[in-house]
Parts: sequence; structure tokens; C-alpha cells
Amino acid sequence: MPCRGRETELAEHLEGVANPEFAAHLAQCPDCQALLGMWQRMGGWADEAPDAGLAVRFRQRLNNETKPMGRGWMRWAGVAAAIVVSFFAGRTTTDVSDLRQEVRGLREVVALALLEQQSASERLRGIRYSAALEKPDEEVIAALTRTLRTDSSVDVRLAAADALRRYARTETVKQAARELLTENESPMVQVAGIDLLLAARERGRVEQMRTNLNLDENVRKYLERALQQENWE
Amino acid sequence: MRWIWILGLVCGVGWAERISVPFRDPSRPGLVKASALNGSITVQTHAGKEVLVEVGAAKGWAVEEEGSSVRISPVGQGKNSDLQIWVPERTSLNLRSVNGRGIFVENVEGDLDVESVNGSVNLNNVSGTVVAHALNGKLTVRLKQVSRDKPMSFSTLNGTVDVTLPPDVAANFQVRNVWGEIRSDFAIGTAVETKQPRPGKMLTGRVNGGGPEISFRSMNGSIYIRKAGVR
Repeated sequence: MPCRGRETELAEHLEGVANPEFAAHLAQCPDCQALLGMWQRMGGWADEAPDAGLAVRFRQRLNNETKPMGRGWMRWAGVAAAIVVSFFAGRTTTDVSDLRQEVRGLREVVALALLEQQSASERLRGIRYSAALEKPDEEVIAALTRTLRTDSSVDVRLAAADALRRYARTETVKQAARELLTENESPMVQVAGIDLLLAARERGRVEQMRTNLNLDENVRKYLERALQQENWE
Repeated sequence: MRWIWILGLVCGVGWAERISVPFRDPSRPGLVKASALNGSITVQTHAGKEVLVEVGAAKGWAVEEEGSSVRISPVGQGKNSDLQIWVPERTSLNLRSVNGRGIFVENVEGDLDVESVNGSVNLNNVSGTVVAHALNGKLTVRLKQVSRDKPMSFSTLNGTVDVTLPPDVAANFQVRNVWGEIRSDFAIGTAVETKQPRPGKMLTGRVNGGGPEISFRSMNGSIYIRKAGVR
């Protein structure tokens, strides 16, 4: 852009500051004229007001959405949702059907936020909450998988493994489970990896582990039992 | 703004050293994070608003203070001595130890996140929430009071899990033990032997009407869930 550095003068011009030098430039510069036109058009936009029924309908939707959990802290999520939605309501045309989507997205935001908490107990709660989502999106599954692989607490990782059993056949989860078995991991976490692979029907992968001479004896014992039990089923 | 104290480098070896680290914002409960490779960690409470750190024959510890958290970690790979910490009663803890006798905590109220690889973990008369793991050692927890609506978890590989809870604790228990036994003073609702094809015993149930999840896990150790005041 040839007029770099002139933005401040352009802003002053919009504010009504007299600057003959810039006025002269503006008169013969199509770029600056276009920019000026854009700012003026944007200035002319009116704020859209939400209609009166929105708040009531939103609350109804929210009540329906949050009923199954029935937890006190969902109220907090509700407040957050109300703030965010009312923020957007002023800006875009928010249809109630979009609202449902919005709330669903927010529950996932809450789940993701809980998984990042400093307190291990809060992260456990995040796992519980993520697992309770009807249809968590890929981002939530990826976050749970990350927790399984890297969380600083063994207990939190084991809880993540339990929550991921439902999604064991997802490629992300399978990949993580395989890595847990090859990496130098806590035996407890490796056992969780075996559970996940068997839930994903990756029996072959688990059988391959038998050849690993460095395998912890606890893990080996569990592995044999799990494979035997699978046969019997 | 961040402060770092290095212990045991300046003053030499052979003397116990103690320093006092104030929390920047004493109105909020602080967090103390400590890790030890080859020594035990003991945390007790005191009436003051600061954190006191004492190391035995010091061989290099770094103490960092940042806002409402204090981090204590060994410097370098050398042998560490035992670590003694005094904290205000309401403090959250994040403690990790590898070798040595393990971790001992008494009377602290907060979110307690504690793990030991080869030592034992003993949390006595604590309140709040506990997420604790001992890989090879014994895990003993006596909870005076639990936070409402907050999940907890206790696990070991080889050691015994021995947890004492207030009689009125309302929670959903989830107990899984692969080879060891499970004993509980609480009637764990319907003791379900789940159908899932996983080795071991799995019990789930509501206690006192149910609530947040409390998990108990072990592979080879026994799991004892005790009701405070019984026996």
C-alpha cells in the first residue's frame, strides 16, 4: 500500500481535524478514498437489538440443555453462556436454532477449559464432563487424548483412558494407546493402553507386545490375562 | 516479579538451612509445588502466612516464588536431602517424589495432588480434595473433610490403598482392583461386577445418595475404604 503511515492522518480526518496537506493527498489517492469510504460506511451501521422474547427462549433452551447434569456449577456455565450469547446477540442475527448450536459449543468450551485447570481435581471433573457430552467434537477427543498422554497426574491420565473407551476406535485414540505401550511409561498407564487397544479390537497390537523383553512384569501378567479373557468371551 | 533462592550452594554442606518465603497475596490460598528425586517431603501447617522451607544437609535446592505459588525443586542431578515444609493451613499442594521414604502431609486444607514412585504417601487429617498415587509404596489418606462436588482419585500399583473418609461423604465410588482385594466400610450401593472384558474386580455405587466420582485403583495392592470413627 503506497499510503502506509497515513492511517493516523486518515483517522484524524474522520475526526474532523483540519490537515490541508492530507486533504490534498486524499483528493488524488484512490486507495485512501476507498479506505475513507469503508470507515464511513461502517460508522453508519446501526446496532441490531435482540427481540424481547430472546431472553426467555434462551433460558428455556438452556434449562433443557443442562437438565441431565443437574450440577450446581452448571449454573456458572449458564451464566457464562448467557453473557457470551447476549454479547453476540447484539451483533449478529441470532436465530434460536443457532442458539442450540451455540450452547453445545459452549459446553465443549467448558470441557476444554476444565481440562486445562491447575488443580488435578478440576481436571478430573473436566474428564467427567467431557465424557458426558452427547457427541463431543474432535477437539474434545483430542484434548482428552492429550490428557491421557501428558497429564502430570497418573490418576488424571487413568481417568482420561476410562473416558476414551467409548471412542477407542478413533484413530487419534488408537495412535495414543499404541504410543503408551512403546514408550517408557508407568505400568499403570500401559495397562490402560492395553485396555484401550482391546476395546478398539486391536488384538494384534497387544499380542505384539509379548515380544518386548523390557516389558514390566506387571504389565505382562495383565496382558496375558486380558488376552485370555478375550478369547473366552 | 519473581524471586529465586538457591539453598545449599552458598552455605556449604552439613548444616540444616531454613528460609521463609512469603506469598505475594496472602488473602488467597497459595499453591506449593515441590519435587524431590532422592529424599522425602514432609508438609505441616503453622500459624504464619508464609512458607518455611528447611532442608537437611543441603545439596542444592531452588525455591522460586511467583504470585501465589512457591516452587521447590532440586538443582542438578545430585543427591538431595529430605525436605521439610511448613505452610498456612489453607494451601494447595503439588508434590512429587521418586526415591526415598516418600511424602508425608498433615492437617493441610486444599487441593492436594501427590505422587510418589518408590516411597509411600501418607496424608493425615487433611481436608479438601485429594488426587494421590503411589506406584510401589503404600498410600494412606485420612480425610477430615471433603470439598463438595469435587472428584478425587487414589491409586497404587503394588502398595495398599488405605483411605478413611467422613461417614457422611456423598459420592459415586468407583473401585477397581486387578489382583488385590477390596474392603469397604461403606455399603457401595449395588456392588456391580461389570461385564466389560477387563481383568479384575470393578465395583461402582452411590454412597449417601451419590455425588462426585471418587476412584480407587490398584493392581496388586489391597484397597481399604474406611469410615472415620468406625473401629
